[in-house]
Amino acid sequence: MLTRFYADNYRCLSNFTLPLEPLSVLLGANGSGKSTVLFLIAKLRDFILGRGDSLELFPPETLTRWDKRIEQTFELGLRLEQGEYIYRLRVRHEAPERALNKVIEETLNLNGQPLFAANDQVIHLYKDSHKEGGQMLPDWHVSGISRINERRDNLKLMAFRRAIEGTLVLALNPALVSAISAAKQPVTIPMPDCSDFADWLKHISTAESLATQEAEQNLAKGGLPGFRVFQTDPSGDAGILQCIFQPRLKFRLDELSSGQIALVILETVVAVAGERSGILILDEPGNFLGLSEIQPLLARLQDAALEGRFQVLLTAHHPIAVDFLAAGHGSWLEREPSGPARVQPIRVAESMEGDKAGLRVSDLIARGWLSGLGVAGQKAASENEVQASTRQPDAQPRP
Amino acid sequence: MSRVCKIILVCEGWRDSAFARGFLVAAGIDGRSIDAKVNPRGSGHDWVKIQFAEESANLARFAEGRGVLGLLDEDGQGAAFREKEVADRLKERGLGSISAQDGRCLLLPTRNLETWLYWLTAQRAGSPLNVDEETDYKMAGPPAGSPRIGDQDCRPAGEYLHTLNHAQPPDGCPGMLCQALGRLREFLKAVRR
Repeated sequence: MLTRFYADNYRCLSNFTLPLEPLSVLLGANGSGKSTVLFLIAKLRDFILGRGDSLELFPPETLTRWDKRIEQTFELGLRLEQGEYIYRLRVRHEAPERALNKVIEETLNLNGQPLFAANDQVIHLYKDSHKEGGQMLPDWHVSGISRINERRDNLKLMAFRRAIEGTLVLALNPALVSAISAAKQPVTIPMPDCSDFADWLKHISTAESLATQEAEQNLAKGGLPGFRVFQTDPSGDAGILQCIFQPRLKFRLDELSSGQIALVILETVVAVAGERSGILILDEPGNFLGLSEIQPLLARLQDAALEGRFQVLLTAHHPIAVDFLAAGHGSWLEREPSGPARVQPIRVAESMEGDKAGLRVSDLIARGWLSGLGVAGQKAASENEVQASTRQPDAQPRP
Repeated sequence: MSRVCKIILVCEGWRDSAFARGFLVAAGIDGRSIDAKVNPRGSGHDWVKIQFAEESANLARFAEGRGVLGLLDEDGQGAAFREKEVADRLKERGLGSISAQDGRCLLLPTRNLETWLYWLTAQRAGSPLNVDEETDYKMAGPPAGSPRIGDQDCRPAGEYLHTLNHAQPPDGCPGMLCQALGRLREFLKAVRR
């Protein structure tokens, strides 16, 4: 499970720390940095797995606009049965005008002991015992961790990489989802918008077939009455993903409504996350869904997270999601205009109980009365007895 | 066809809702037809009392064959006292009394839900445990010989509750849990109408 996320000098994230729980819900106004956090986790995953290099994942446009420094720092805390991993990456933009950068530090520690350490001169490899296990030359733009082959004495590092690989980050856009699967290579991780869902499903239908079956069953008894199974029909070199309904009706995936496509994808990712005991990160999962479908989805995500089946991190604007999850699991993100994002846990005050129970959290947000940083927010907190905690964001400059 | 919510759970915390949903789903209720309203603070008797009355009023207006199921910890106040507090709320709003047969079911874990969870979890594991309804196991820790229960134990405990015979619960079953079994049976009849 991800326990901590840190980013510095990346877009609106300046010396930004976000502690993470089995279930974490990010709330905040448009532009407060919620999706930036989610997509940056996806970028770090892709970097660690070698699915992209620093030049394309961290271009100079991602430097914080009002910050003159040229280094970006990222950290992920991850708890596995092996212990507490801390991954750290520093990227230096030597010549932003020429879009040139290089990795100047990439480290992975387990319980404070090194598993991997690289700078721009050398990579130090470590065995599971944390003893030195050789050196490599770094590629300035590619994760060294992605270049390491599995051996008998680096299983702890591999466990980290597999956990990162099991992280799904999605911001659904059903209009972009294609029914055609034409990828030459297996798609092991879907695009955030899930436009390549058909390719990904083709992969997991063989690699994680139990999850696919579970998704089909849940769709049949859930939001897609009459649904039976997925089926990929060959079409030249490609395939076309069909949804088979009773009695023997067949629809291409992209013939379904936006809401139905969203349901298909969400049921699938929930099943896959459960199978992997992985990490599921969703940007606005309530988008496109009918009102009556939102609570069942959230309840299942909440159950899965709190029962330890998989971790859930999501953003939410929808009132149903906000009221269902915010007070127990919510973090409030806020920004001054052209300023950095700050985050605080949402906490409902003691006096919210009983006959004093006031507005719902979603109402407070809709009226702009829930705020932990601004004057208006403090006033609202006292008047409406819901407030973000007073814990200050991490103010210590990082080395 | 759109989902129809048939049961509203009104609970002090997520554990209560996981426990109750575990029971209802084991009893054959479609999990998608259950909506949970959970107190945002994770505790709060007043909140449950208010919401139970609110949802009972909604039930009276909108719903034949639907129900409200509330869980309210006794917390040393006496089950009769707790029940009267809720009954008074219903009376104030001109609603009927608490009645599982009419879809308004209130369970009163005594001393709190943890009492039931420890007993059910041990029973389910085949190593029965003695619990009493005075000790606050949430604060005092688990009964002797029992590991501490976690969030992951709530749903299985609810599922196991459904396997018990309401007319002849096992020896040592806490009194209010025996009562709850009877009430849940009536409640299930009401929402299946």
